[in-house]
Amino acid sequence: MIHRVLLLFLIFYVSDPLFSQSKSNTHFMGSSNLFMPSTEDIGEKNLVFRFNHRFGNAKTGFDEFYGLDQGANTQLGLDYGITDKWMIGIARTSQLKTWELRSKYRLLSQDTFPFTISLYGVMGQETSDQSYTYSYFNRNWSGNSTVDTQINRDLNTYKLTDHDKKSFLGSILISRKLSETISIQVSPMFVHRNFTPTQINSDRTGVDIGGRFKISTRIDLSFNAIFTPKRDYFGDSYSAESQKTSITGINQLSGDQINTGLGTGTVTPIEILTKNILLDEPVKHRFIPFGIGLDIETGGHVFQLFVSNNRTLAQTQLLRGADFDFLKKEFCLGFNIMRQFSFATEKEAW
Amino acid sequence: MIKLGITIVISLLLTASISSAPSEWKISSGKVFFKSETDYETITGEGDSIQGMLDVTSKKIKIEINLGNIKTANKLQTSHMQDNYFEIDKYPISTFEGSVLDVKENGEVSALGTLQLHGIKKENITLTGKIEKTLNGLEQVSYFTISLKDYQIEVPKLVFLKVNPIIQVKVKILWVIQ
Repeated sequence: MIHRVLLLFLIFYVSDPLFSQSKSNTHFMGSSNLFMPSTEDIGEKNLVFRFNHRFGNAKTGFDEFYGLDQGANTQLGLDYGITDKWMIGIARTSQLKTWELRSKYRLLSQDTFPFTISLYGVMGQETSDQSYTYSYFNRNWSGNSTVDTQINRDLNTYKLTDHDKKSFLGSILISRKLSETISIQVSPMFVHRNFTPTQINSDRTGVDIGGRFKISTRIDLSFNAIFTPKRDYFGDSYSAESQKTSITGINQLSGDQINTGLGTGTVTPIEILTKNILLDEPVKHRFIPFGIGLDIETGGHVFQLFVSNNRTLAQTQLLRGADFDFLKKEFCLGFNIMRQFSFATEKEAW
Repeated sequence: MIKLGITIVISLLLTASISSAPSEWKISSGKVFFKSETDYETITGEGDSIQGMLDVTSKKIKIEINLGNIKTANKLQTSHMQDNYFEIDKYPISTFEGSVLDVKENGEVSALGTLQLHGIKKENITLTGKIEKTLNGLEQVSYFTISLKDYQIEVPKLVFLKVNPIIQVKVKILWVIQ
């Protein structure tokens, strides 16, 4: 592990040092990459307005116009540079009605150090109604099964409070301009969620790896991927998900069902063997977020157009994992638009 | 022997400093401003990395401007300007090389020479300015314009209306006599 880190450092360090003042120190076209912010500063008294979109699953093709017919997940964001190095911002994402407060501070820059390093932190607050139903612990028994199901569900359902729906992200953004055309950024990150469903740890780590390749003066090819040792599973309840078999509609038998079923003779060993062992399938987890696309600069604006398997926009939710499986030709189209304004006043009369 | 050596070195140093003393002006500090005015947007920027010298006897002048130091108020605009318009990785410096008509310490001055920007050299460029003697040295202010087309600086069609193809430039220089 240490060797690998050293090797990475050497690759970073040996390749063409750019300490000369007159070289361009722009690593990325805008202050944000596909998922995470870049190390680029907002700039003092500058305001950045950001408008991000992720459309639906494009697998259906032309019929659903590559996912554009399905509702998009959108984010509006504002970031303001208090000093050249320090910015604060706010963002609102439609998915889970998430508000986010964020701040970025640049510690070091590549003109004096081998890397540009910034600290980044986000506090997220989801405001959509969310509840979580546990495996039934309290059971009601009235005799009427419809009423029972409803009451059991209510008794075992927990409605999330505002405190539960808070999450926090801390990240170190490390970037290096390798050459005039190639820059890379590695962003280790940590997320804490105040509430998580069973089988999911409330703390999670991951690393965003991304880069850009300059195709022309105004067009970059860029990519990003977020690697995490663990991601969320699909569905609401782990126990319900783990009961599923590879055939939809057929569930595995529970321990209770096997015990009573074998006793009364309603369940055969062959049925247990097929459902619980042969058709057994692991719980489906979300995918490694990945996106690739073009960054286009048009004087004051930056457009980022890309394909990704991830619809998530809220940065505190990125480590939960991506929605679509590239291997099944599932992906979504997305774009980020940013516009930068300056509030600085002219220093000297012409 | 050592004494003789030291004396020679000292005398050489002395003569060198004496001979060069009255014949050269040097830029001790300076500022470059630019302005692009259109109906839609006025873009201004400035930089303070400028060096140069003037040989009083031969009247030769050379001024160098570090383009990587020129900034607008908008950070995004600055990096786009440096990367896509100036292309400072390839052409980090703009120079003016030529000769002045009259070496004056007060009043109107002008120089004829070659202006190099964005890797393009334009000959027979006349730059004028006003010079004034102050306590700090000689303060000079010059105004001139640059046509982006002349220096093959391309403006994308989408921002064509926002950038004036003729850029106004103002240069403030403080000369010191050495």
